[in-house]
Amino acid sequence: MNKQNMATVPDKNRIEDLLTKIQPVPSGNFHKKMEQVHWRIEQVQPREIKNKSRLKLTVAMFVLLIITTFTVTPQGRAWAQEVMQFFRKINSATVQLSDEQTKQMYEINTQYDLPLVPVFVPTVSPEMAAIAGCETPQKSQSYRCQIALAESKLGFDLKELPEKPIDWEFKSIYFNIDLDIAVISYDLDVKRTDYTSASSLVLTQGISSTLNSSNLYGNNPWDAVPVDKVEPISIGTHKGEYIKGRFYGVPDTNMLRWSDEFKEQRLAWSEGTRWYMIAFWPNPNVADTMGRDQLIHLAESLVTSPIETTEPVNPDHLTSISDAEKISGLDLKTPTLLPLDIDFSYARYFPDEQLVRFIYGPNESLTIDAWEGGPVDYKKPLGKYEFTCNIVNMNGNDAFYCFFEGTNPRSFLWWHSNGINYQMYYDSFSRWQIDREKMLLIAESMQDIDDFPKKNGRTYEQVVIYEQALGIDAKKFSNVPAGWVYANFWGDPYSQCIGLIYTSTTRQSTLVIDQCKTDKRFDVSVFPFWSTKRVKLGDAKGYYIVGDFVLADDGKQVWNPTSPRKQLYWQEDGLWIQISLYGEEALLSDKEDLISFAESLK
Amino acid sequence: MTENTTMRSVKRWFSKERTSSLWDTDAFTRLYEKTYLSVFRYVYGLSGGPQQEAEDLTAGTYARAWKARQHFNGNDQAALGWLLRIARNLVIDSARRNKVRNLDEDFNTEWLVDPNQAPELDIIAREQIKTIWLMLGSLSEEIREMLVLRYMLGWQIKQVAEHLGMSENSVSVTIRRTLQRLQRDWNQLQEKDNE
Repeated sequence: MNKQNMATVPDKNRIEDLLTKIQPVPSGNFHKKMEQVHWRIEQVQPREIKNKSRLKLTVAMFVLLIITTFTVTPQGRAWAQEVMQFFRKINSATVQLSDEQTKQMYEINTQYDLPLVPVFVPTVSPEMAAIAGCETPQKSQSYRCQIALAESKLGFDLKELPEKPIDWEFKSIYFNIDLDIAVISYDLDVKRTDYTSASSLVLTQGISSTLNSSNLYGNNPWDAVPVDKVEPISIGTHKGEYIKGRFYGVPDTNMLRWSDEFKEQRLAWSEGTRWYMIAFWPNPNVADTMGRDQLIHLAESLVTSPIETTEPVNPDHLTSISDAEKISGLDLKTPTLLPLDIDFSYARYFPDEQLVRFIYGPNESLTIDAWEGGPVDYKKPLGKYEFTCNIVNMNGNDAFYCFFEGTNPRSFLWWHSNGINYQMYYDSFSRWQIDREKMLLIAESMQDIDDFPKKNGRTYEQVVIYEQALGIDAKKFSNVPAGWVYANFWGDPYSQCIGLIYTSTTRQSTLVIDQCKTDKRFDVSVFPFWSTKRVKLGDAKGYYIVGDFVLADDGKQVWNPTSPRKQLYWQEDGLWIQISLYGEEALLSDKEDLISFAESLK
Repeated sequence: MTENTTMRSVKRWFSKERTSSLWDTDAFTRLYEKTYLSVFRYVYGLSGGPQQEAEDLTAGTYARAWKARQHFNGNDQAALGWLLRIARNLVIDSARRNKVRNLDEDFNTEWLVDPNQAPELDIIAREQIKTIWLMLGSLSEEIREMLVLRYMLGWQIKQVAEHLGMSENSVSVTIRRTLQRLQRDWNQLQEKDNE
């Protein structure tokens, strides 16, 4: 010890001061190590995996965008015809994201309010109504009706599970008659009662002489696979490929890195001109999920004529409000107003307590419990739970509202109506929030309606509902241009956007029109300047961009000015508008054609 | 029936809350970003280092917390308290394994640089901090923890008391006596050196 410095013995205040100065900091190695820990790398995932409600639309978009890429370019055609391949294989365990993809990945960092939208009950299309037993809106959403419609439109039999396993539920189907593909999704482990989201299994299949499953996710970096990780397998007598793991985002970088640690698995195989792909995303909380051999066995068991059984009503997974009422014997009311994208998923009946739970939204973010009985004493303390609570007025009666602002804000509302206790619980999911007023509006909107999960895309009639909710007066085609039909739309409260999606009836092409009240999605700087040109649209100035980023074999993103993607950006009437044209039509169209689309919007 | 059902519903929902709040990797990462410095300093102070071991124990704290996140319920302050309790257990386990406490005698004081302080005073401060650091090693784990929370983490007496389940008065008196003891020990150390 240095005697000189020891000369003066510090007093108590100085000792306190010295103690406060002991502020060690972790080394750079620590930070590097912590960037790679499992729970952090899970954070940076593709948004479609995080938000499975968007999966259907995302899959559809991939199919439309990527298949067209590979079928309209000479290289794509040659490659596709060469040999039946599965997956987009690259010679690298890392992938570089383009500026555009990086921006999308890190886009949302703040919590934001969800607007409320009226519950929409779709009408039955004439094609669906023509199928026996599929005449009502609810019946038309059944697995049998949805598959029957897809098969009648596609013109071929789909392979299906021979029988629905216990604890699996049909989630949705997407099909495209131009591309001859169908995507069937299931939720697994539905009997789990701990509210964590289910495992997912997606069966994609197609029939085409020029397409195969590798085209499906061709340029999507999240779905690429390192070539040395692909395992050849046999599905019966057919050749196929299997892969376990996936790319994950390295935090604060534009890189993805492959990890075998993830339990996500994919397998794909072909049978003549038919091809199939199974993608399995297990719930990490479930210990004994399917592995390679079970998935192969599942693939081998698929049939074109499954056993038709009438399933008994499953109290753990009731697919409509009316089923919940039947099983419980209660006359129940449910919301006619719901937060955007938080739709009815299913209901559950707890016979011991004679309680019905209605479950809404991804990750079961909104639930409503209902049971018969006298009013709950709101003054009874909640014990250890640290909530801020108030008695609030709801339709002239007292209701009990509590909220908690922690790492994951949450709130609940209790009330009593016509001899039934209702308790609505909300957990913010993916930074989505609803405040007290919205909780009250949802509760006050409850009526005798029969809601049920919707299995396919949104109808054009819903666009106006989303417009009102998002406060956007979106421009639309007064007459949809010849050769195009409406396919779907999306709405996003964060950027206040509505995106209208059209498909070509004559070529494999997609037209997307995004309109936003903010500029959060309006960034042309992510594209190379040499492919960006200034254009005039009437009085407005805009940008015209030709080309797209393409994933190269070494995992790099390379800008290809001849890729079939053309875009037009401009600002008009308080809206940031973007028209994107993909596929064959993009190759055949020029700047004037996109401007013509823009001028047709009113 | 109604009251029971109500509380059952709340409890059930809280079991969801436990799984979905910290279950959410975004939320857990936010918690990490907010707390890692406190947890590291706590571990360093309690274990006595060295740096590498404190970093490993800090990483171990978050790994254990991630696994056990379903059992946690509470706000940010409660989450930090929960992390520190996990860290404490790890430090104790590690100390038991090592038998002998490895006080970090190569205590790195680079982070002490104060641009407003004259260089010669800076050298004195470094030496004094090293001295006080070595003296902390002679204290019991309970008292070290109290000092770490109070000074290295900058907690108020009330927070320290709540975290340790003690009265504010006990914490205050213990800290005051410990400071007196440190001053006395320092005095004795100096006398010894002068001999």
